[in-house]
Amino acid sequence: MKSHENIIEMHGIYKKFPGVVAVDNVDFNLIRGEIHSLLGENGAGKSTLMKILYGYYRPDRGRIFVDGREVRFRSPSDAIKYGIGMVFQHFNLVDSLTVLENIILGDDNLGFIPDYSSARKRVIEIINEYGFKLDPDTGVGYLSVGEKQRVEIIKLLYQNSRVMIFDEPTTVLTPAEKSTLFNFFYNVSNEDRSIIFITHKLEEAMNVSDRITVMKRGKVVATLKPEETDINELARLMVGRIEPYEIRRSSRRGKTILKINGLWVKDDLGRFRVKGASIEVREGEIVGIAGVAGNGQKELIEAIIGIRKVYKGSIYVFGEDITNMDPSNIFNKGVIIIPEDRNYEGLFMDASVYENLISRVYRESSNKLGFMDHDGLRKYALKLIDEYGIQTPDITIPVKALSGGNRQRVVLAREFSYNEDRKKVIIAVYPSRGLDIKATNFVRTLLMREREKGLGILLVSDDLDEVFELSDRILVMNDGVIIREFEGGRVSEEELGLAISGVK
Amino acid sequence: MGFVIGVLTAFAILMIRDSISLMLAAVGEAYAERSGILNLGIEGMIMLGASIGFVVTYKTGNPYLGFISAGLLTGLLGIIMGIFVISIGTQQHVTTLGFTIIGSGLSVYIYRLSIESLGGVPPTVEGFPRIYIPYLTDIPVIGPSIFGQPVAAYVVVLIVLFLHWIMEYTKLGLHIKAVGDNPKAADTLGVNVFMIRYLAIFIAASTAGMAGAWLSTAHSNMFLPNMSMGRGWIAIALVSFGMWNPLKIILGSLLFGGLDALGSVAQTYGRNIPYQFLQSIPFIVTILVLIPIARRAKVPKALLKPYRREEAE
Amino acid sequence: MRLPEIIVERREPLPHYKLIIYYIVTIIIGFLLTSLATIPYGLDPFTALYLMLKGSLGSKYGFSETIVRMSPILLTGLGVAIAFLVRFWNIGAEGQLYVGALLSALIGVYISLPKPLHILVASVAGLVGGALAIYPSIYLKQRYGVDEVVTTLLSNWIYILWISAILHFYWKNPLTHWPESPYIHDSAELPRIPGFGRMHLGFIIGIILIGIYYIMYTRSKYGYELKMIGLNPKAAYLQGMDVDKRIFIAALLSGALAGLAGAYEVMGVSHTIREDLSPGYGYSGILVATLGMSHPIGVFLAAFFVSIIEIGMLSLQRTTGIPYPLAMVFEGSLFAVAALTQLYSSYRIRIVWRD
Repeated sequence: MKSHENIIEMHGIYKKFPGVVAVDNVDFNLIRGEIHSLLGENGAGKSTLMKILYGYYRPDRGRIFVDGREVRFRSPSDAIKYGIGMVFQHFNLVDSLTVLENIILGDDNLGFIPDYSSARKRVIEIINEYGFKLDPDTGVGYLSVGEKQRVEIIKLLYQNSRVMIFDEPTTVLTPAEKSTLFNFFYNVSNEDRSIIFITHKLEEAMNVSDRITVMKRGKVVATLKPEETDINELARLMVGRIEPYEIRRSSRRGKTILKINGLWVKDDLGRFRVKGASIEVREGEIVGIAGVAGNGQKELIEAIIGIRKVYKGSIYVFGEDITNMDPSNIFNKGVIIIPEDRNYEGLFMDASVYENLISRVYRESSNKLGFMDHDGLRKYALKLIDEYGIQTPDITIPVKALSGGNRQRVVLAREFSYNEDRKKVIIAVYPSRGLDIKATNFVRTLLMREREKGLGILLVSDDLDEVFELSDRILVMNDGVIIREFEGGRVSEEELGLAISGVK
Repeated sequence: MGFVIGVLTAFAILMIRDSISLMLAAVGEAYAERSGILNLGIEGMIMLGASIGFVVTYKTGNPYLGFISAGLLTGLLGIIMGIFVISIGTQQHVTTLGFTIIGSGLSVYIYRLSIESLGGVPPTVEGFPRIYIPYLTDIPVIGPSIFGQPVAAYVVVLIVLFLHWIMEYTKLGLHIKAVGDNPKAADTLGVNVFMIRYLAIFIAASTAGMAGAWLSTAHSNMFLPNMSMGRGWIAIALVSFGMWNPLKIILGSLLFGGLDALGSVAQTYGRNIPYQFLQSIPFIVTILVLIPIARRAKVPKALLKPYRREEAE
Repeated sequence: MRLPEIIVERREPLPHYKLIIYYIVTIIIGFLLTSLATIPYGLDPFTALYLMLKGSLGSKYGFSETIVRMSPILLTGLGVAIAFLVRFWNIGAEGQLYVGALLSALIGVYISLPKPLHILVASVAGLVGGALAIYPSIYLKQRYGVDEVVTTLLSNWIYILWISAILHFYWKNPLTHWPESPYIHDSAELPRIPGFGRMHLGFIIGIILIGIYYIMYTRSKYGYELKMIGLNPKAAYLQGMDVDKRIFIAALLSGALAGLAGAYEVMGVSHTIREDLSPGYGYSGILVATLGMSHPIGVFLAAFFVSIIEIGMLSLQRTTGIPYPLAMVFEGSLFAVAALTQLYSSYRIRIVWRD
C-alpha cells in the first residue's frame, strides 16, 4: 500500500458558534511523521479546528481527507478508527474509574464482558515500552496532573493513534515534565506517527516543531518551518500589531501590609498542604508566587481570604491579626481577591452586568430599611463600565454574554474601585488565565497601576512569564513551603524554572 | 403461640413484598443516577406502572402481560422525559418532578378510562400464582415468605441481580458510570453519551413501572390512586444509602421493606395502635440514615448536569 | 434512514418580551397535548377549554371558587418561591401546610380571645407551625449537608401520617365522630367577603404579602442578596454576603407561609382540620413558584392560572365525566414547560434531520 505523504488534509473548514466564527475557511495539512505546531492566541480557533478533525465538532462546511480518502466523522469514535487521537486541554478522565478502565473505555473490540487481563497486559506493555511510571489499577482521582497526562497519552498509544493531537499540554507541567513530553514527541514521530501540538507559547513551537501553522481569529495566517522564521515574526503573525505594555518595577516600597507567619493549612481530605509558609507583602510591590499548581497555593489563598481554616500560624493585615476571621470581615480589613475561577467564584453569571458591578457597594447605598438607591448605583455602574472599558451593549445584559476579557474587567472594576481611598491588599490568582493578549495586557497594566498607588499585590500564577514580568519579588512555593526567594528582574527564567522543579 | 407465629408470618411475607417493589425501583433509579440523571419522576412512574399493570391484567387475565406492558409503557414515559433532561438538557429537579405529577395523573386517568366503576368497590384481579415447594414452603414464617411468594417476586429478584451484574461487570456498566461521572471524557472516547443516558433512563422508568405493577397485581390485587405511598421517594433515598451500588441497594430494600411491613402488620392486628406512627417510621429512618452519609457520599459527578457537546469554552 | 436530532446551542440572551411569548406558546402546546386525552370522552380540546373557562370564570360562583382555591395556592406558591429564589428546594409545602393548620386549629379550638386578636394569634400559630415543620430540613441541610429535596419530600408523609394519627386516635370531633378536630371558635374564623361565596380574608392577606414580596424583590438589598445567593452562593460568600443565614431565613419563611396557607384553610374554609384539608395545595405551590420563576408578578399570575385549571377541571369532571387527574397531567407538563423556558433565555433549541 502506497502511503500518501499527507496523512491529513483539511480543506475549507468553516465552523460558526453563536455570535462568533470560530474557524473561517481553513486549510490544513499534516505530513506523516512530523511534529506540527498549531500556534495562536486564546480564541484563535486552534482547538476548535482540531476538535473538528477529532470528530468532536461537526464543521458547517469543509472536507477532511485521511490518507487521501475523504472522511466524514460523526463522533470521535470514527476519528479514533482512522487512527486520530487527541489529548484535550482539560483532561478527559473519569476520576471514579481506574487507569485501566479509563484507557479501555472506548475500545470497540472489547467484548460485552471486558477481558481485563489481556487489556491490562497490553497497557503494561505500553507503560514499560515508553517508560511511564504508572500502576494501571490506581483510581485516576488519586493521580497528579502530570500522571493524568500520561494516562491520556497511554490512551492514544492503546488506540494505536497515528495522529496525536495535544491541546496546550505544557501549561500544567513542570519544566522537567515538559522536556520529557517533548522527548516523547521526538520518539513517536520517529515511529512514523504525527504530532499536532497546539500552543500559544512561541519558544515551544520554535523548539520542537518541524512545521508551524499560525492561526489568528479563526484563519490560518501562515505555515512555516522554524528555520525560516524567528520568534518576532511569529509573534507578529500571531497577534498582529499590538501595543506592548511597559514592564516596570516598583518605584517605592513601604511598610509591610500583609504578613503571614508559619502558616499550616489542610486540604479537604485533611492533609497538610501549606506547611509553615511565611510571606510578607509591602506597600507598592507585587510579590509573585511561582510554582506548579497543587503545591499549596490554593489552600494558602483560601486561608488568607478566610474560607479555609488556619491550623497553625497567623496572618496579619496592616498589623491586625485576621487569622480565621470570616471572609466578610477580612474583606473589610482591606483584603481583596481576584479569584482563580472568575466565572464560578467571581461572578454571578446569570445576573446582569449591573448586578455584578454593585455586589460590593450595594450595602453602603442602602438605607436603614434596606432599600437600595438604584439610581445612584446605576450611575456608579456606568462609570465603571466607562473607566474600565467594559464592552457591553447594555448594563442589563447577563454577564455570561460577555467575552472572557470583559468578564475579568467586570471583576477588576468592582474590586478595585470599591472604597478607592482605603488601603488594600490584592490577592490576584491566575488573573490573566484564558484571556487573549490584549485583555492580558490590560489586566497586567492595571495591576501595575494599582501598585503605583501604593497597594500591595500578592500574585499567584502558573504562567511563569507573568510572574517573571510583573513581580518585584518572586517566591517559589514547593510542597507547602516557600523554598526560594528571588528579587524581580535579577533572575533568569532558566534559574526560576529550575527552582520550581525543585532543583535547589 | 399460634398468634405470634401468625403475626410473624404476616410480617415476613409483607417485608419481602415491600422490599420487592423497593429494590426494583431503587436499582433502576441507581441506573439513572449513575448515568447523571436524577429521576424524581419515579413516584409517578410507579403509580403509572401500577395502573397499566392492573388494567392489562384485568382485561387480559394475564398478569405477566400486565407486568411487561407496565415496564414497557412506563419506560416510554421515561424516554419522553429523557427528551427533556437528556437531549434538551432542562433542569432535572423541575422536569422530573413534573413527570411524577404527570405519572400519577395519568395513572388515575388510564384506570378510570379503562375500567367501569362498580359503585365504590374497586375491582380486583387474580394476579400471579404463588409458588409452592413441598417442605420448604411449609416451614413456618420463612416458608411462606421466601418460598411462597407470587412468581413475579422471583422474576424481580433475577432482574435486579442481572442489573447488578450489568452495572459491575460489563462494558455497558463501565459506560454508564463513565457517562455519569465525566460525560465529556466518555464522549471523546467515542461512547455515545446520549444513547447510554436514554438506556439508563429507560431502565429506571421501566423498573419503576414494573415495581408499580407488582404493587397492583401481586402485593395487593387492586389499583388505588396514590397506592405507591411514597415508595418512590424512599427508593431515591435508598440509592444514596446504598452508595449507588445495586447489591447494597438490594440489601437496603430488605431493611426498608421490614420497616414498611411493621406499619401494615400493626394496622391489621392492633386495632388501637395508632398505626400511622409506625407507617411514618420508614420515612424517618430514611432521613436519619442520610445524615451520616450526606457529606461522604460519592455522588456521580455529572449528576444534574446536562451534557452539551457544542459548549464553547 | 434520516433521524431527528435535537440541537441545543447557545445564543444571545432573548429580550424579555420574546421570552414571555415563547413561554405562552409552550404552555399552549402543553395544553393541546394534554387535552388530547379528552377525545375518548367525545370532547375536542377547544370545547374542553371553553367548558373549563366557563366553569372557573364564567359565573360568580365559579369565580369565587377559583379565588377560594387561589388563596392557599398563592401563599404556598409565595413561600416556595422564596425558598427557590435561594435554590433551597422546598418540596415540603404540603406537610408544612398541615402542621400550620394543626397549630392554628389548636389555638382556634382551645383558646378564647376577642375576634381580631384571635385571628392574629391563630395566624401566627400557622406561621410558627410551618416554620417548625421545615426547620429540621434546614438544619440537616446546613449542619450535615443532607439533600433538602429528599428531607422536605419525606417530611410531607411524616407530618400527614402523624396528623392522621392524631385525628383518628386522639382528637376526634366529638360531634361528628369523624377524624377531624372539633370546630374552632367563631372568633377565630376569618371573615368572608360579602357577596363572594366562600371567598375569605385570606385572599386579601395573600395579595398584601405578594405586594410586600414585590417591593423586597425589586427594591431592597435583601431581595438582591437572595437573588445573588441563589445564582451563585460561592461568589456571594466571597462578596461578603452572609449566605447561610440568608438561606436559613428564606427557607424558614417559606415554611411559615405554607403553614399560614394551612391556617387560613382552617380559619377561612373548613373551620376544622381534616386529613383531606388540602387537595395538594402544597404541590400546586411548587408549580406556582416554578411557573412564576420566583418573580412576584409571575407567582401571582401562576397562582391564578393554576386555580383556573383546577376549578375548571373539577367542573369538567362534573359536567362530562373526564377524570379530574387530567389536571395533574397538565400541571406536570407545566413543570417541563417552565424548565424549557429557563433554557430559552440563552439557548436555541432546534430539531434537524440527519442521516
